Amino acid sequence: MRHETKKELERIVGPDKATDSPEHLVAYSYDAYTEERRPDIVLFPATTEEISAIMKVAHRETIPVTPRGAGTNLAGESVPIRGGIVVCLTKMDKILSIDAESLTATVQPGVINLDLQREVEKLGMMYPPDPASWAVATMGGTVATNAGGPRTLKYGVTKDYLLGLIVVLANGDVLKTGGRTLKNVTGYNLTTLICGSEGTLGIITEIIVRLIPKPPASRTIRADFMKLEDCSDAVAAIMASGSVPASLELMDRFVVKAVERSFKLGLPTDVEGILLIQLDGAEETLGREIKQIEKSLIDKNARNIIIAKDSAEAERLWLARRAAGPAMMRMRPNIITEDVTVPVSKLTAMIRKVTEIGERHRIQVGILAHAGDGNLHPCIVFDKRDDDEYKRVQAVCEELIPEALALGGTLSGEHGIGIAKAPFLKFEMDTVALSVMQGIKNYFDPKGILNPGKFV
Amino acid sequence: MKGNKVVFPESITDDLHHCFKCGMCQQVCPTFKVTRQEYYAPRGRVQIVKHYLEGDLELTPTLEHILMSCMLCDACAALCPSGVRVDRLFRNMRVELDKYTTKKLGKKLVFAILRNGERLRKASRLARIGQKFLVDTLGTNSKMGNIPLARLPRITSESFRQKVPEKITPEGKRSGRVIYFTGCATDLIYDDVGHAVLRILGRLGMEIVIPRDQVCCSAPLFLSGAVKASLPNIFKNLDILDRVDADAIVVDCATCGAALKKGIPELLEDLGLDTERARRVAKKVKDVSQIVSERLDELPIQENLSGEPLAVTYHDPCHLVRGMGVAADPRKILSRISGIKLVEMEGSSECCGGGGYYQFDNVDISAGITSRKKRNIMATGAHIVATGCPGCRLTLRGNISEDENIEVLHTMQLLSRSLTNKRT
Ligand SMILES: Cc1cc2nc3c(=O)[nH]c(=O)nc-3n(C[C@H](O)[C@H](O)[C@H](O)COP(=O)(O)OP(=O)(O)OC[C@H]3O[C@@H](n4cnc5c(N)ncnc54)[C@H](O)[C@@H]3O)c2cc1C
Ligand code: SF4
Ligand code: SF4
Repeated sequence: MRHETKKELERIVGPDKATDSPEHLVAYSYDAYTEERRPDIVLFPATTEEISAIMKVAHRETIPVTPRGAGTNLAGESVPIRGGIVVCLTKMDKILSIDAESLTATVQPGVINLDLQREVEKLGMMYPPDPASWAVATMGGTVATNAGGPRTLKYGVTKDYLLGLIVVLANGDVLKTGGRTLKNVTGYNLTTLICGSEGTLGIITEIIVRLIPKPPASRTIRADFMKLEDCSDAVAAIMASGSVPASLELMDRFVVKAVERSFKLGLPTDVEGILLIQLDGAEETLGREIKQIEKSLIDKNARNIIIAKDSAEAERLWLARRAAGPAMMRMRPNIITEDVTVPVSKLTAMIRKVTEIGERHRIQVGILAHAGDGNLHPCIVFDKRDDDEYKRVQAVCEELIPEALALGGTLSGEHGIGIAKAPFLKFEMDTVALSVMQGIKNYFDPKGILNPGKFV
Repeated sequence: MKGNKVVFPESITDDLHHCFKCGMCQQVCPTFKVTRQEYYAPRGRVQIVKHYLEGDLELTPTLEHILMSCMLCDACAALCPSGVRVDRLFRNMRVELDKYTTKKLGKKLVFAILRNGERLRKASRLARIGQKFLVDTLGTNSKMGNIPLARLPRITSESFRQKVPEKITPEGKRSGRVIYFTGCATDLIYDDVGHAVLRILGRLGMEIVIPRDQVCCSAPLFLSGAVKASLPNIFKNLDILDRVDADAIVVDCATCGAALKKGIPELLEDLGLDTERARRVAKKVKDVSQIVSERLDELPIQENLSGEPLAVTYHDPCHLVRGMGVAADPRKILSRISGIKLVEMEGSSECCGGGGYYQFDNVDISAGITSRKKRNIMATGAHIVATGCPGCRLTLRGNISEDENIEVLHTMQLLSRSLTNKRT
C-alpha cells in the first residue's frame, strides 16, 4: 500500500487509531483458524462516517478491506488473506439503547455479546443467541456469522432476533435496513442477507435486535448411555415427543474420558455417550415436560438419569459440558472443531461415520454435539508440526463433508465458511445458487474489495 | 529453530503451540478490556512472542512496550482452556528483552537499590526527605503516574525490622513457631501492617522469628526480566528461610508470597538450576490470612453489637488469589469481625491496575484499569476496602481522593483493630 494512502487513512481515524507497525500487524494476522496473513494497516474507527470515508478511499484505490470483531471465528473469516486494511470495530462498543417496552436493543458492533446479555437481564429480558464464545465475541461478529449457541435449539439463531442494521457498503454508501418493528415486509429482506455474510457485503456499524422476556425457571437433566445408538436415538425421541428443551448436548466416550483425565469430575468413563438437557419456561409446565423426557430416556435404555435438585447441582452437571472443550484442547497442541450438521434423525448415522473416518486415518476425534438440532462438533486433535498427521487430519475433514451432505445435512451449522470451508461450497450449492450469490456479491462489491479470498 | 536465538525451556516453547488462538483470554485481560486492541490481549502477546522466536519480528520499543504493558496478573493463564502458562512465557520473554532495553535510568536505579538491603534503607531515608521536599515545593496536587503526591504513603522514619526484636516469644504457652518474611513494603512503608501481624500472631501464641538479614524477595526484578540481578537476593533469602527451623513462613505481602511459593521455584527451574531447596521453602510459605483463618476461634475478637455494621469490601490481589490460590481465608476473617459487613464488589479478583512501576510506565492503561476497579468499589457503598497486598493498597488509596472518604487497609489491620486488649 502506498505511503500517501496510509497517511490518508490515518487522517480519517486519527493517528492513535491507525497502526502499521509489524508487531501490531501480527496481532491482526489471525483468528481462531490456522491460516495467517498480515494486513498492511489496522484501523480502529469510532463512527459510521469514518468507516464510510475509509471505504471511499479503499474503493478508489481498490484495496482489500477485512472487517473484524474479536477474531474468534474458527474458519479464517477475519484473516486478511489478501492483505490491505483491517477495520477493527472493537472501539465502537456502546449499547445505544435498551427499550424494555418494545423489547428491543440498539448496539454498536463492538459490544460484546455477554455484556449485552448482562444489561438486558438486569431488566428481566433475554437476548437468546448465546455462542460459547459469548464472553468475547462482538455483536458485529455474531451478526456477520449468524452465530448460534446451545439455546439455539429452542430459541433460534442470530438472524431470528435481528430487526435492523446500518451497513457501510463497499463504495462508502451507508445502507439502513429494517427497523424497530417485529414485522417488516417492506422490500427485500436486506437485513437477513447481510446477516451471515461474513463481511463480504458491507461493514455493520449499528444493530437493532429483538429481546424476549427471561424465562422464569429452568431445570437440568443428565442421562448416561452404554450404547451411543441409544443416546442419539433418545435425542430424536425427545425432539419427537413435543417438548423443546432450551439445550440438548451430547458428549461421546472419547470426550468424557478426556474430561476425566484433565478435570476429574467423576463422570462415568464406561459409557458411550452422555446427554445434558436444559429445560426452561414456566414452573408449572416444567414438571410435566421433565416427566415426558424422563420417559423417552428410559425407553432408550438410559443407564442413569440425574435430575438436578437445585441450581447448584445444575451448575455442577453443566460443568462437565463446559470442561469438554478445554479437555480436548489440552490433549494435543492443535484442535479443529468441525461443524457438520445433519437432520436430527440422522444423528446416530453421522456420529458412527465420524468415528469410523477418524479411526481409518488414525486421527483422534472426540464428538460434542448440539444434538437437538443435529449440529455436530467433531473435535479433531493433532500436532500441526507433524506433517504426516496434519495431512491425515485434512483428509478426515474432507471426507466428513460429503458424508454429511449425503445424509441431507450441511457443511457448517454455525461456524461459517471463511477460508476453511470455501472449497466445499460447490458440493452443497448448485450452480444456480452459486451464480445468484456471485451476482449479489458483484452488485454490492463490484471491485471485490470486501473480505476477498473468502467464500464468494 | 530458525529465527531469533533464545534459549527458552522446551516446556515453554511447546506452550506456544498449545495456544490455538481461541481468544477466550480477552475476557479477563485488564489491558485488553481498557484498550480493546489485540496486541494488548494475552493471545496477541503470545502470538507476537511466537513470531519473534520464529524470527519474523525484531526487538523494538514497540515489542518492549507490548510485553511490559502486561500486568502479569495471571488472569489469562488461570482461564486458558488450553492450559497455556502465559505468565511463564512472558517472564522468560522479558529476560530476552532485558538484553535490549530502553529502560529508563530511573528504573535501573531502583533495581540497583532493591538488590542491596543497606542501600535500600539509605535510599528510603533519602526518599522520605525527598518526598516531603517534593510535596512542599510542587504542591499536593502534582502527580507521580496517576497518583497525587499527597496520596502516596509516607515512608517510615525507621525500618520496621530494625525496630522490632529478631525473635518474639509469646507470653503464655507457645503454640507454634513461624518465620515472618516482612517484604520491603512492611519494612519501609507500611509498618502498620507489620505491627498488626505481630499482635495477631502473638495472640495466637506464636513464637515469631523476623530474620533481620532477609532481603527483597526480588519479584520486582525477575518479573521485569532482570533475572541475573535477582539471583543473589533469592539465594540469600533461601539460605535464611531454609536454615531457621519453623512450622511456617508467614508473609503479609501477596507479591512476596507468590514469589516464594511459585515464582522462584519456577524461575530456577526455567534456568535449569536446582530447585529442591526453593521447593522445600515454598511448601512452608503461607499468607498470614491462611494461618489466622484456621485458628480464628482462638482470637479474642470484640463483640460489637450496637449500631449499623460498617460496610467493607474486599479486593483480591492478583498475587494472592491466583499467585497463591488464597481467596476464602481473608473473607472468612472479615466475616468474623463483628461490627462490619462484607459486601462483595463486582470483579473483586480483577487487577487494580498498579503493581511495580506499572502505573508510572503505562499511565493511560493503568488509569483505565484502576478506574474500572474504583467504579466497582464505589458501587458497593463500602467505606473500607480490605486487601492483602501493599501494591494494591498503594494503587487504590492513591486513586481514591481525600473527600471520597474510603479507607484502604490490609485485612490484618482490620482484624487487629477488632481484638480486645485483654488476653484470653
Ligand atoms: C471457543 C469458541 C467457541 C465458539 N462457539 C461458537 C458457538 O457456540 N456458536 C457459533 O456460532 N460460533 C462459535 N464460535 C465462533 C465465533 O466465536 C463466532 O463466529 C462469533 O460470532 C465471531 O465473532 P467475532 O466478534 O469474534 O468476529 P470475528 O471472528 O472477528 O469475525 C467473524 C466474521 O465476521 C466479520 N465481521 C466482524 N465484525 C463485522 C462487522 N461489524 N461488519 C461486518 N462484518 C464483520 C468478519 O469479517 C469475519 O468474516 C466459537 C469460537 C470459539 C473460539
Ligand atoms: S485462551 Fe489460551 S489458547 Fe486461547 S488464545 Fe488465549 S492463550 Fe491462546
Ligand atoms: S497476565 Fe494479565 S495483563 Fe498480562 S496478558 Fe495475561 S491477563 Fe493480560
